[in-house]
Amino acid sequence: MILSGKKIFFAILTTLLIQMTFNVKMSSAEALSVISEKPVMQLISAGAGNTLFLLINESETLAVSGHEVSQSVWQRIRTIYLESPLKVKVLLVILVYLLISLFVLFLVIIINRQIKTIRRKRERILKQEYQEQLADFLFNDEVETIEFRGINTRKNRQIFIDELRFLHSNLYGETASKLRDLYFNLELHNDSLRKVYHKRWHTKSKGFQEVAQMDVKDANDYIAGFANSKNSIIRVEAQVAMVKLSDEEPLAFLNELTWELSDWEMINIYDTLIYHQINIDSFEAWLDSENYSVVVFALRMIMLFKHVQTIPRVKQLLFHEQPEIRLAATKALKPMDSAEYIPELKQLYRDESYRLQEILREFEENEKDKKPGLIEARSLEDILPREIRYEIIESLTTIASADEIPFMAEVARDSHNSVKIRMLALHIIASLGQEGNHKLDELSEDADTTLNNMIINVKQNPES
Amino acid sequence: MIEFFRTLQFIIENGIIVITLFIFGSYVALAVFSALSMLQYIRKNSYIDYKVLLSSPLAPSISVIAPAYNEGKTIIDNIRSLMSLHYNDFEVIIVNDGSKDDTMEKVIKAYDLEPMNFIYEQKVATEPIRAIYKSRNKAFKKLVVIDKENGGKADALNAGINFSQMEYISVVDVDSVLVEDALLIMSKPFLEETKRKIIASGGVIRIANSCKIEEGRITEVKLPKKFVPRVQVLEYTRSFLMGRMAWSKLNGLLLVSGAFGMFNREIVLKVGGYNTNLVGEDMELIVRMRRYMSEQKEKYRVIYIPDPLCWTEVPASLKVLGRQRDRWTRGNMESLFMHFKLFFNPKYKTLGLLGHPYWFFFEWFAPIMEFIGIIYFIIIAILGIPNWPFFFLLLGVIYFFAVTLSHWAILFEELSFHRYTRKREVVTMLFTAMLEPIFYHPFILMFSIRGNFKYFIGEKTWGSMDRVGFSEEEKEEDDDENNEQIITERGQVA
Amino acid sequence: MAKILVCEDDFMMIKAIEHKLQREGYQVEVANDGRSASEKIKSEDFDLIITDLLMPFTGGLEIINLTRNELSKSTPIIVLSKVGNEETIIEAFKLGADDYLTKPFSPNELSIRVKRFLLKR
Repeated sequence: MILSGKKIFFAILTTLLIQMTFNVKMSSAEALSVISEKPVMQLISAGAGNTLFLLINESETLAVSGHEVSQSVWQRIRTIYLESPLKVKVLLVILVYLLISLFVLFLVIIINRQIKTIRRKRERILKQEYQEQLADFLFNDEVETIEFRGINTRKNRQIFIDELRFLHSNLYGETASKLRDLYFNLELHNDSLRKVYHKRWHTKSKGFQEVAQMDVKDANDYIAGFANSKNSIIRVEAQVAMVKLSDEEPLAFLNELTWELSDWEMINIYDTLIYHQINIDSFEAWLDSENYSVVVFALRMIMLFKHVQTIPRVKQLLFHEQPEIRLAATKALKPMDSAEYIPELKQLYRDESYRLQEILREFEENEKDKKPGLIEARSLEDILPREIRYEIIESLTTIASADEIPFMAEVARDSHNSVKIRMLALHIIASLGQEGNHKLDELSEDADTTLNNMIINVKQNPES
Repeated sequence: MIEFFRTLQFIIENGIIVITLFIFGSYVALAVFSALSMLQYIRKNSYIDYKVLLSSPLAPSISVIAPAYNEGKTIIDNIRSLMSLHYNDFEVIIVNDGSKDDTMEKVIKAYDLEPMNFIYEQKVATEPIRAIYKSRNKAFKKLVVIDKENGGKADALNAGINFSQMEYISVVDVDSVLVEDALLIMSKPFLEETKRKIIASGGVIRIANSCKIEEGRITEVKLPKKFVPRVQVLEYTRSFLMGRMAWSKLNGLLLVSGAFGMFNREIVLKVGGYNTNLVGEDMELIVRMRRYMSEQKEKYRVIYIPDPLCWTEVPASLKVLGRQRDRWTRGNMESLFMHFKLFFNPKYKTLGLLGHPYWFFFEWFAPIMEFIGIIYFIIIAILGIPNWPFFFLLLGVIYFFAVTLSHWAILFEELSFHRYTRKREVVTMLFTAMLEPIFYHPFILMFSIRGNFKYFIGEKTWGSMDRVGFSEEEKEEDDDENNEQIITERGQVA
Repeated sequence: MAKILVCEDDFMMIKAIEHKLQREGYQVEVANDGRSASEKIKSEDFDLIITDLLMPFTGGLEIINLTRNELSKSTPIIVLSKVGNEETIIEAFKLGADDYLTKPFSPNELSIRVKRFLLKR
């Protein structure tokens, strides 16, 4: 009913729109002054008692009073209409149109509500029934299968599939397998496959989800074709499905991906890997991808899975031309906890600082007044260099040794740096034992108020 | 002389008709766009499992900022409500804007707060911070309470933005009740876009009057019993589901309601945070952010989510409603005139060619035009020469159009996220729609005119604000001042 | 017969857990949200509590806090939640949880752990 309700809705809306456009055009072409034009009143009115409108000025006799009383109401209305000026015609038409559509709308809304209420109630009852049956089936060995009510209707089967899927997604082990077996025994995989091959994208997407979860591999090749689809919604569902369903190379689609991988896609892919405990030995191959978003994805995976074996390659990427990749590489090294890349990090820090200076210099030249202290560029360009620098210092938190103290001291002293990064540097110094504390004291000697406050704060709160 | 009046008459009468029909036409166009946009959204998200964001280390961090002023009665429940949002990496920042009641005492007691030392940059100048609190109880780790001197809502929000170190900020009215998945649903669009940066998103505001709220949670949705809030349900539905959805699709959205919105924090800081000299700070921020992105030649979008995520109480009396509406009118005018440069300016693409002009004509000018029309008619009536039949015809058309539009809105609501499930409620709504143009709209018109009046004779707020955006930061840029902005122990300024 | 309280807001999950535990011979009480969970814990004594973390009104962490710290009850608490990040798990244990299972979970495994805790008493 909803479907047909929508069709009516769109039909009316479209005709209304067309009518509106048409009327507006007509109206603006008109040039009559209507209000206070007395002859017009004559034209509008037609015979006492049968008029839709009232006369104001009795002194004017009706030009139309010659009409016979025997004329039907319909004919009289037609006359009124035909003899009115265009403007009035327009408004009359609109009015009638509105009244009709209002009436129709009213009915549609009421009926729709009725139907929805009934359907909703039915669904709720069915749902509860299915839930009971499923729970019973799972833990009652005597129950071999479920004959659920309404198995012949697609809609009911869908409700059952949804409940089954929900339960299945929360369980693993023997119980989950039992559910899967039931799913196949009841031939529900056909419903899912039907959706997969459906022409509408949102139905397809649901189908992909279902077959992926229930491990129906019949349509693998078909689904794989959508992993590079223009439609971003289908694409992400196909990708996630392929990760789950592929026997080998779950991430093969990354090789052919021509679209940018969105964060949402990355999150979903990662979630699938974790959820189904799919092991990927190495992400290194994708670090060479021409699709930069794939490189970023690979770096993030390396970070999350702590693939220390890829460190050498990641180190190289610290100097990639794309700031997003540099940032991802920095973040990827963070959990690795190894001192082997300290020199590269420091080098990158210097590079980014230089870049930042260039950006700010350009900005300063364009701005009239010079501002001391932290300068932020008007443009968005300085965001990434700042972030990279911060991530670098954060990476160094766990791996810095006393050798890094001078470097950190520089970072802390530089008043062009943000408070955030300076505090971090100070914390690192503080964590480096006696030498660190000594440095802190040294720094306070010629520190300005700001730096002093920061040092005091760090000393008071050893763990930030 | 007669000629003059004839001409005037001609212009006004035809003008009114033409403009009226044009307005109607645009409402219909917007309704169509909205319908398409909503359909796409619903289809797209009907089977999405947002929970994936809940446990993902790649999900963005969010600061939920809620300014509070004299909320002693409900603050505990409000905080509880915000703290129970389903999300992983987020914090709830309550900014006590110098409340004169027992708000702080209650919160400190209920959540076992202690003042902490924080050092951070105040990128946007605000009124002095007295102290920043966190809970001793680890179960309330996510809570931060900033106690500051009174400075207004915008100022309080800026204080929260300064403190936050997260990627996104979600601005909420402290007494708004958010759906538990609100943060999950709101963040998804930010994560999906690759070609354009999403700088802000707004959600539908639903009316909580007469709804059952227990411990900061909506347990039962009911249609407001009183007429005034009930009509607002219609208003909001029309505005959100048939207006903003369209603008979201066209990328011409000028307003993200202050009751609930999500922003990219970096961009908010780049434009200098909220403007504290305005009454309509929420709209002005969006316009400023959009303008900034256009000027930086960066592709961006401001989007709208039709999912009902936020429930809030609306004025139940005409008096309070009046204050709100004339404040809105003034807010509109502030933003529109401050950023008048955008008006039909092709440099700003949709914002300049569609967004700003539309808001200018339809939101600001339309009530004025209506008012002129009424005055005109009254004059005519006094002179005793109106053509009543035509007048009633016109009135009839306008009335039935308004009622039909409302019916469409109700249908939209029914076919999408309908939350009013009782049959009787739908019928009540349909009849309320019929009463609205007669018993409600005239007041709204009056409030709007009053707002205009207040704006023109009242404090010229925009005079001191010719420098907008980044220039705001100039306030804090002074060698000494820079130091003063660093907060130390107990908020004592260095 | 041991009495177990299951705090979970999804009906399907409740059904499943309830069925499983009842088959094992336990008496099962159900709370659909944090509020009714709190009330039940305050008014009755249970031999074991299984709780989700994300529930309406009061979250699971608060329930653990309530049982362990405010009411000083030694009832064994098993957390059963989709949220599986390190921080939350640590938080739960710090507050006093005895065990933490992430979803997807195995009902058989849950059953064994329940048995273990009840044997100890």
